[in-house]
Amino acid sequence: MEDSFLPESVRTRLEEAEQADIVIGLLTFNDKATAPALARAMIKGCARSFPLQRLLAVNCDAGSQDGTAQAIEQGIGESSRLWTIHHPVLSSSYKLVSESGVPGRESAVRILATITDKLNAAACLVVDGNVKSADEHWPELLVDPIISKGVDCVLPWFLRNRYEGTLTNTLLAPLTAALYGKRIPYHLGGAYAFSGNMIRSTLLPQPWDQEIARHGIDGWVMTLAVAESLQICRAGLGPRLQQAKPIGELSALVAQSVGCLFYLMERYQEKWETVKDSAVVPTVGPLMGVGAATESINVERMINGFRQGLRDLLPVWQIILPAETFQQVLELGVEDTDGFRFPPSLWVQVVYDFALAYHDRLLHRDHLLKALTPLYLGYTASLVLTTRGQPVKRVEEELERLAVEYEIMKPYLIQRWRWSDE
Amino acid sequence: MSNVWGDAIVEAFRDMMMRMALFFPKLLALVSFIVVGILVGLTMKAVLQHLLRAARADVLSERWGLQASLAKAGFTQPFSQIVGRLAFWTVFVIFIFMGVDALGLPTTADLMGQLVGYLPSVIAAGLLILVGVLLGNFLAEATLIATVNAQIQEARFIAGLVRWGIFLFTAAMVLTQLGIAKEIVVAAFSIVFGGVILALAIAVGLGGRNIARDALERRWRKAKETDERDDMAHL
Repeated sequence: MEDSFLPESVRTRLEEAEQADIVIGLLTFNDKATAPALARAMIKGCARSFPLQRLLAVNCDAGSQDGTAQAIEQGIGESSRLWTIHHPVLSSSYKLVSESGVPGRESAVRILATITDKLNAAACLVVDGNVKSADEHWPELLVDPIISKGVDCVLPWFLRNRYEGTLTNTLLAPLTAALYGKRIPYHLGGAYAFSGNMIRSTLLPQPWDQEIARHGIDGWVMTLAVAESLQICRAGLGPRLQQAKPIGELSALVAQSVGCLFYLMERYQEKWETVKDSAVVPTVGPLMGVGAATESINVERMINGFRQGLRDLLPVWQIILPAETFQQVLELGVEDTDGFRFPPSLWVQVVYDFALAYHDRLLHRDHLLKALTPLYLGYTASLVLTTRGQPVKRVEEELERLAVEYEIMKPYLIQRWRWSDE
Repeated sequence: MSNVWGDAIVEAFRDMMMRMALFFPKLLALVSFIVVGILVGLTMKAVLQHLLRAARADVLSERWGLQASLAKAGFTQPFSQIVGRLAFWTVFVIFIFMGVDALGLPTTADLMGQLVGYLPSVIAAGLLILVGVLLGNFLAEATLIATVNAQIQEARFIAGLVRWGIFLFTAAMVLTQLGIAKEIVVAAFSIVFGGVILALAIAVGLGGRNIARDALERRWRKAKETDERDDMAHL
C-alpha cells in the first residue's frame, strides 16, 4: 500500500520496529494540562486489562507550542514504548470544528491506522488529548470487544445532559439509524477503537482526499463503521469532560457534520436503500441515559435565528425545498414565541429534502448545508419549548418519536432519490 | 436617331448584365457563406456540447453554483447547451460578415477587418459579464447565508451591497474593455465608488453608533456576552 504520506521518521521507525498487538493513539495539540495523565491512564489500563499484549503508545501531535509531547514523554517514563509524531496539517483542516481541537486529525488517524497495519496489531485505540474524564477502565471498554469478541469498531457513548448534542440527537444519529439500520449514539471524538481488520478492509483503502479533511475524520469513521458490513458496538464511558470546549460557528459545524452524512449517502446508496428498520448496537459497560442537568439555553436567540431565516433566506429555501415542504415551513410562523412548534414530521421532511437537494446539486453545497442552520435552530427551539420543565423521560420520548419518524418517512427519500437519478 | 437610342439601350443592358454578372457570384458567395456558416456553426455547437458534457461541465457548473446563477439571469438550459448556442451564433455572425464583405459594397468595405479587430474586445467583455454576474450572485448568496446565520438584521442589505458592488465594478470593466467613453467611465466609477464608501463611512459613523457601541461592549464586557449566548453543545 502506498505510504508516501508517512513522515520520514515514522517510515524509519517502522523498518526497525518490533511488532505490537495494541496501538494506543493519543491526538494532541497544546494539551499539556491533560495529555500526560491521560497517556498514563491509557497505558496502565491496557497493561492491566491485556497483560500479555505488546503495547505501543503513539502521540500524534499537531505542533503544540506548550511542550505537550515532552510532558507526555516525561509523564509515562521509559518503561513504555512511545513514539512521538508530528503529523502534517492540511490548510482545509484548520477550518474544521472538532471536539479535540486537533488540526489535521485525519492525517493523524491515517498514520495510526498505517502503523497498526504495518505492525500487525489487532487493535488501535484513538483518544483525544484534551479529555479530562478518561480513566483506566476506558481501554478495557474500548479494546476488549475487539481483542476477545472480534468486534471491528467500538464507538463511544457518553453520558450527556438533556439538551446536549441536539444536532446529533435530532439529525445525525436518527438519520444514520434510519439509513443504515444501526442505532449508534454518534458521539463524535473523545475516544474510539478499531480492529486491524477494519483498518485493512475499510479505513486504509479510503481515497484520503480533501473530502475527509473537509468533513472530519470522526464522522467519516463512524459512518463507514455503520455503512460497511462491520461488527460494531458502543462503550458506555460516562460523562465526557474536556479541557476546553470546541469553538466554531454553528453553521460550519452543521455543514461539516451533516455534509459528511450527505456525502457518504451517495457512496452507499445501494446499501441504505435496502435497509428497512433499525436496531440498537450491542453495548459494553454501563448504559448511558440522558442526564437531568439543564444547560443555560437561550431559546429566544434560537427563535430569532429561525425568524430571520424565514424573513431573509426564503429565496434560497425555495430552491432547496419542494413547494409542499416550503409552504409548511412558511406556515410555521413565529408570532407567539412560547406557542411555537415545529412538527417532527416536518423537520424530517426538511432534512430529507436538503439531502435530495444536496444530491441534485441544486445549490453550491456549502451554501446549501449552511442554509439548514436556521431551520435546525427552529426545530431545536421547538423541542426545548415542548419538553422544558418536564422530566428527562419526556425528552427521550420525543427523540424516540423523531427517530421513528425518520424511518417512517424513508420511502419518501428513496422514491425521490430514484426519480432524480433517472 | 434610332441608332443612338438603340445603342443606348444596348449599352445600358450590357452594363446591367455586366454588373449582374459581376454581382451574382458575390451574391452566391453570400448565400454560400450563410449556408456554410450554419453548417460550421452547428458542427461547432455539437462538438462543443459533446466535449463539455464529456468534461462533466454541466455537473461542475451546478457544483460551483454557476447553473443557479445562470437560472437567475434567465438561462434555464444546461451550461453546455448555453455555450453551444453561443458558439453557433458567434460562428454564424462571423460568416454573415464575411458574406457581406464578399459583396464588395462600398459601405461595408473592410467590415470584416474591423469586426475581427474588435472581436477580442467583445469576447473579453462577454467573459467579464459572465464572470461578474456569476461572482456577484455567488458572493451575494454566501454573504446572505453567513449574515443570516450570524443573526445580523441587515443581512439582505449587505448581500445586496456585495452583489451590486460587483456588478458595478464589472460594468465599469466591460465598458473600459470595449473602449466606450473610457475617461467618463473611469471618472463615473470613481465618483460612484467613492460616494458609496463615503456614504458607508457616514452611515457607520452616524447610524451605526449603537451597533459599534454594542460590538465594543460585547468584546470587552464578557458578562454581557454570556447573557446573550448559551452554553449548548450541538454535537
